[in-house]
Amino acid sequence: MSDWDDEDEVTRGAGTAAAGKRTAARKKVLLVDDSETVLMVERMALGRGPYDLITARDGVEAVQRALAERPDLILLDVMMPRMNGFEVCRELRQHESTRQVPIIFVTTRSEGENVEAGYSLGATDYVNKPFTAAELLAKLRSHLGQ
Amino acid sequence: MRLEDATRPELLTVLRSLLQERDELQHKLDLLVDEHDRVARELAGVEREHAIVSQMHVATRLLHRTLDRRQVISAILEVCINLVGSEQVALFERDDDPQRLNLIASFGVDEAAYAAVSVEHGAIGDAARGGVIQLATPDEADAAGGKPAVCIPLRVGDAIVGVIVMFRLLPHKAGFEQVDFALFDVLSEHAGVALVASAGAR
Repeated sequence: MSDWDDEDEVTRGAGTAAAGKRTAARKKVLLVDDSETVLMVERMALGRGPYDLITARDGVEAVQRALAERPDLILLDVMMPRMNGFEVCRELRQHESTRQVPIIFVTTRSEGENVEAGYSLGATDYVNKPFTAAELLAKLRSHLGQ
Repeated sequence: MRLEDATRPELLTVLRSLLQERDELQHKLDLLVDEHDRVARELAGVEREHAIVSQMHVATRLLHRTLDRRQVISAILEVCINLVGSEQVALFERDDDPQRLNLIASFGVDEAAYAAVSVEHGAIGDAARGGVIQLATPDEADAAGGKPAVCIPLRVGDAIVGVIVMFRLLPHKAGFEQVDFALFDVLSEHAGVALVASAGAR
């Protein structure tokens, strides 16, 4: 089974209190999408980079994992069951531990009003689907200071 | 030699030497810049190729990892929506009547309007009869009752078992790129096989 089949590739020891222990070279990225296709593409794009990848398949799980794992950056789908991306963003901005984490919306809904709604809720940036690995990596490097 | 003590001829000699060294360094710098640009272009080309191969791998993997018909159909739509970037997709399959295609799945499409399509005419019919991917030009796509952006025949050997139709792309997607054409080939070659295999597995 290839490493693309693993849901999470969090390095051993990088748990809830791990932010200080995580090396400066590797960043923890939370991938949130209800589409396994998109998660697969994101894993392929980021899997060979200096990223520890964790995933969530809906908005409720996204909030739980973000609060537990304290990622360095979140790639967040908008249209999801149980809780959409906008609601996730609003919720995470209310918690001290996730208030400053960069949140990049990954979405097909790129119309102006939706972009504004996202930014007003605390989104950091947007990337449109379909995206290339180069586009995704450029966004991450830009917001993670790499 | 101390420059303060140098004669004018000596200073001129030093100056000529420095100018020559400057020219040589400038030439080397120009070569390095050219080499850097060449490597950057090659890297960009490799990254493009890698992106295409990665997308093709994802699409192929999605199509063939299950024999569950519902999941195969879902995978086909996923490729069209999330990898190509279409907001109106219809999947047609041939049934016992070779002149007709039946709609078996869709996204963003008026299903009643496309419940069954004849292969006698239109871009969808052209794809089903000729087995060739039908692409609309921007003018054709924009015209009233416009031609679908792409119609992809689904092949199993020489037989055409269905057609994938992407009527419209997402608003921010200007048009098809090289990676999309590669995905069309994957869909044409593999989606039909996956559909038939899943039907046989029932």
